[in-house]
Amino acid sequence: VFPHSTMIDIPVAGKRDSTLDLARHTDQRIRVRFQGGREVTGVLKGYDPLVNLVLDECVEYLRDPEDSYSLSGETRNLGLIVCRGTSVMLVAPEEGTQEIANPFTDDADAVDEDGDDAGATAATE
Amino acid sequence: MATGGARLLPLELLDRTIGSRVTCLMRGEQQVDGTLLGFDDYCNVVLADCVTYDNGEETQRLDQMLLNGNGICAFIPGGIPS
Repeated sequence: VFPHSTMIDIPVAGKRDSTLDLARHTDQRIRVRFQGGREVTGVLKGYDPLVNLVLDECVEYLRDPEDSYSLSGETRNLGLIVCRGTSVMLVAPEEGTQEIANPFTDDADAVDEDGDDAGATAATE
Repeated sequence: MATGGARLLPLELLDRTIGSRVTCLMRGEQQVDGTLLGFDDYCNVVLADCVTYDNGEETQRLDQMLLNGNGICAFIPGGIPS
């Protein structure tokens, strides 16, 4: 019986269940961020319950030597890699993500190209 | 959650790398290259003929090392492709 919460009818992860379903991302490109700031994208080829990952055609996005929080735009190819689940901080599919203008700059009058008002929404949250 | 089944298990790939060169990417800007002799459940790793790098610069050469799995982000079987 799949565990459900008693108050509202939503599934609650059991002890051995994972909250992350990696099966649906296999053979797709995903972005992985690590503790310490490293960031890669790669095609998910394998995983285990501890979120150790196998990524193929992996590319590392290198950071600015002066500012370790911003990406320099440079990349390097890593090929086939094994990611340590204990260091994985973020897993996200590349498909469907898009880069947007920085909503946190002082440019309050910046024009929002697709009219989504994403910048304004983020600012008022 | 599926364990990976027909897919590639990460630690299986690491096991197959034993005997070959491997690059270990650490948290921060460190990197260790070596021949993988073995690893344990925590991914502590024994390497031979190792070279350590910091920010791309070579820092040390060692015959053998036990690398603490705690700081490891990723393994690259065969080393970084050039």
